[in-house]
Amino acid sequence: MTSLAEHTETQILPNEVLQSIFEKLDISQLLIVGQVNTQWRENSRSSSIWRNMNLSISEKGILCSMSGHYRSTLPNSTQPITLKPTIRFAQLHKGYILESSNIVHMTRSIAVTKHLTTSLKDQLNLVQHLNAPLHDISDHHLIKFLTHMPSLRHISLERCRSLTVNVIPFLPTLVRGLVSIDLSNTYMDDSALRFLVRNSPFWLN
Amino acid sequence: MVKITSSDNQEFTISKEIANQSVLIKNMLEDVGESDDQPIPLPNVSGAILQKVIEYATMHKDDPPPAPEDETKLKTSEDIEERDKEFMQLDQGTMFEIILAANYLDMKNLLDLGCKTVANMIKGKSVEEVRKLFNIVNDFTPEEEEQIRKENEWCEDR
Repeated sequence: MTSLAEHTETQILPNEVLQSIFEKLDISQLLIVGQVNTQWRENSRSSSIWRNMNLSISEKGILCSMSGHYRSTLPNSTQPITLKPTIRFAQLHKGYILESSNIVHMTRSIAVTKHLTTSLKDQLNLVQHLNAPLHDISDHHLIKFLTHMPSLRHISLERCRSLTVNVIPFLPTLVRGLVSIDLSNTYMDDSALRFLVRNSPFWLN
Repeated sequence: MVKITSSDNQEFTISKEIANQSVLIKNMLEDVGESDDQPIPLPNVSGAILQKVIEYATMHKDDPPPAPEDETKLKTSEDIEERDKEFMQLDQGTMFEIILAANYLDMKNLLDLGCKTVANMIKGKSVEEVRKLFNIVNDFTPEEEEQIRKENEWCEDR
């Protein structure tokens, strides 16, 4: 079998194949492939990808996890670390975990700026899965996200201990199509659950 | 048994259960009926690639039928079987040919495997590294480039 590698052009991949590839990426990688060329950019914004995206948020914004891609010999250094693949770290975020063999697993959160909400507005509109894995999200921030994401169907707020019952009344109006919400290990009480069941009979199955 | 021929006129004889893993061939067989002895021409796939595809189909002939799409299940590229990983240890050109063949032959599992493999190659790369890896030319105009740079400003910590 002869190698075809020398003259491979990925442009030959049809759009539907590219989209199937991009569906398996998370948001940080999706933003990278969106900068590669015109075909990749268009396909990185396809609705099927965003509809299936599992978007993670934290207090600071959308969470991009970049793991295992670079090594640091000084894991506790306060010096800025250059993240090898893509993005410069201005400062270490508290969410990093040190793993064996000096591979630093770093999660970083990204501030939501006007760029996110303007340039990816149509895409955020389509997202159906949201979770808050760092548990620091507040009522205010959750509501801010929900206003941009009316298509949400599944929300996981497990162990989001900063949330209060005050956020609950906003849910039925902000996300009308919600079918599941995980509130385990939060400070939600029976009244919150009663409210949800009463105000959204078609929601939770 | 079913006969298929590649774009370069290589003929392969495969069992029906292997042939049926390709929805394209399955439909063709249903259309022409059992009695037809003519080989099925596959003008979009070369013999070398067809051989790899048959190898994959043979490896997976005893798999249970795929579960229906579960919309709550999130797509990931982490769940690749070990034997599939080994199968995909190919040069990039061959890998892309196989992906294209899987797309043409309508073989969902193989296409999915190819897409996952490419997704895993993309992970952790910068824009420039991705272009280099796949030999992609940056075709943005300077204006578009500037706009994209602006849009992605939010990627920087501030």
